[in-house]
Amino acid sequence: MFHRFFILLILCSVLSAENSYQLGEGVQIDELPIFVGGYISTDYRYKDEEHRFRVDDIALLSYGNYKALSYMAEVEFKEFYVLTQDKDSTHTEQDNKLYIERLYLDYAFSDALIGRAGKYNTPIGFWNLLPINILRDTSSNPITNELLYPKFTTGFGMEYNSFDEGEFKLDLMLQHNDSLDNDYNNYEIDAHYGLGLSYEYDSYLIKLNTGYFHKINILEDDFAYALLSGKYEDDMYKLMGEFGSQYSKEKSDFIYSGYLQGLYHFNDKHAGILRLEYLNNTDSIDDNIAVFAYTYRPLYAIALKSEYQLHSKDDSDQFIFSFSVLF
Amino acid sequence: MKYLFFLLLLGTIVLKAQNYLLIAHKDVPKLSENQIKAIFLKKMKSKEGVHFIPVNLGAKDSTRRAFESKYINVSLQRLKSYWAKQHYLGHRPPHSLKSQKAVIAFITKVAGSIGYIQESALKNSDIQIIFRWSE
Repeated sequence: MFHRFFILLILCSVLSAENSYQLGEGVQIDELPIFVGGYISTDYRYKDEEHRFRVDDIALLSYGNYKALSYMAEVEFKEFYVLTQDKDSTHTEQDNKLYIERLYLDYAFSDALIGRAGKYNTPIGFWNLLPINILRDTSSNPITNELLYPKFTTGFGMEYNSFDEGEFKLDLMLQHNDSLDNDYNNYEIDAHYGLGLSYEYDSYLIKLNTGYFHKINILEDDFAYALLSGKYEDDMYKLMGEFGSQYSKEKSDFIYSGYLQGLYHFNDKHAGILRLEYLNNTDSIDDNIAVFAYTYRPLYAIALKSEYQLHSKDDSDQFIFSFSVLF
Repeated sequence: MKYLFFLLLLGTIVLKAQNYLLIAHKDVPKLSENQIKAIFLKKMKSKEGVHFIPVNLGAKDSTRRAFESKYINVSLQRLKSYWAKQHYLGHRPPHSLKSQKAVIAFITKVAGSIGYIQESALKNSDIQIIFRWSE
């Protein structure tokens, strides 16, 4: 019920919004400090003689602020329509449930210190803060960012930010309760304590994250993780790499994973990407992946991406093409 | 003849050079070029107790292009990418004002405000000039 009311509210708001709209920037509701936007993502994948077409994300978001208080609300249809076809059969699936992707309140204690309560994207590494197709370099995420830590945290957060000639940031993540709308979090958790430190100077950014979480689905387990991330970016090139590890208390084993990625802008609209990924696990699901990708953005807020993944693991090579829009 | 042509060309370029000013309310402290970039990207929010309020001109304004080229110093596409990501994170770009006159009026009145204009537009001396540059 809340979901439907939220969509209705956003649609009414958009209809009465300002005329000078530019794609990818959202719209302001009259003169109110309230903004709305959203995104869609569709993709096609060919893997192991199977074709899959998905309308993956249809999402609406709204945010705004009043004095020191601000909010973010985002709801999303996930895998709204999925069609798979192999040699013998064709299947279609639809998920009409509207998920709460993010829902939080921020309070700015000062210009440097912000407190947060609610469900938010765990601010770890480079990919999880911007986890939607349109904002990513490639259609897929590096496996490092799918495995090591919970993608969402429901609880409290704190961000301390200081800028002199470079930007220093400290993030704290605290969850000691059940998660909000946990259906497609990569881990179902009831505890997460995380710490992040980052420093950005000119074109360089370095980041370190570490934390602990408690998984409650399937096999209950406690995990500790650490991730080191580095990036250089200018108008032509982007070079980035992340290397991390996760320790499972129950299994007493470690996962190690990392990647190196280079991106080259042929011009404003075209970019080529090469990513080399590595995964090592004592459960013997090791994989080495090479991703060759090409992205075309007629406007920044519209992306057509293709990629081919070569895996050392059998029958895992795949081709992905995606279309995504931010509005 | 060649030198004469060169001098004429140089003279034309000098005559056509446009002077710009980075201006701020009187209470804004001394800033480096790096800090100005950070203020307009909304990464740096205050210094010495002064809360900054950066103001832009319209997206297609030539003075804004000159400012972004000099101080933000990233391609237009990269800047769009930055603000698209900030939109997803719930942050907005600086507010845009319609004219240089509006920028001057705003900065005269509002503490912590900072913006840019063409030098020829400045009639009011009750604001602080932080940097002057030519193009």
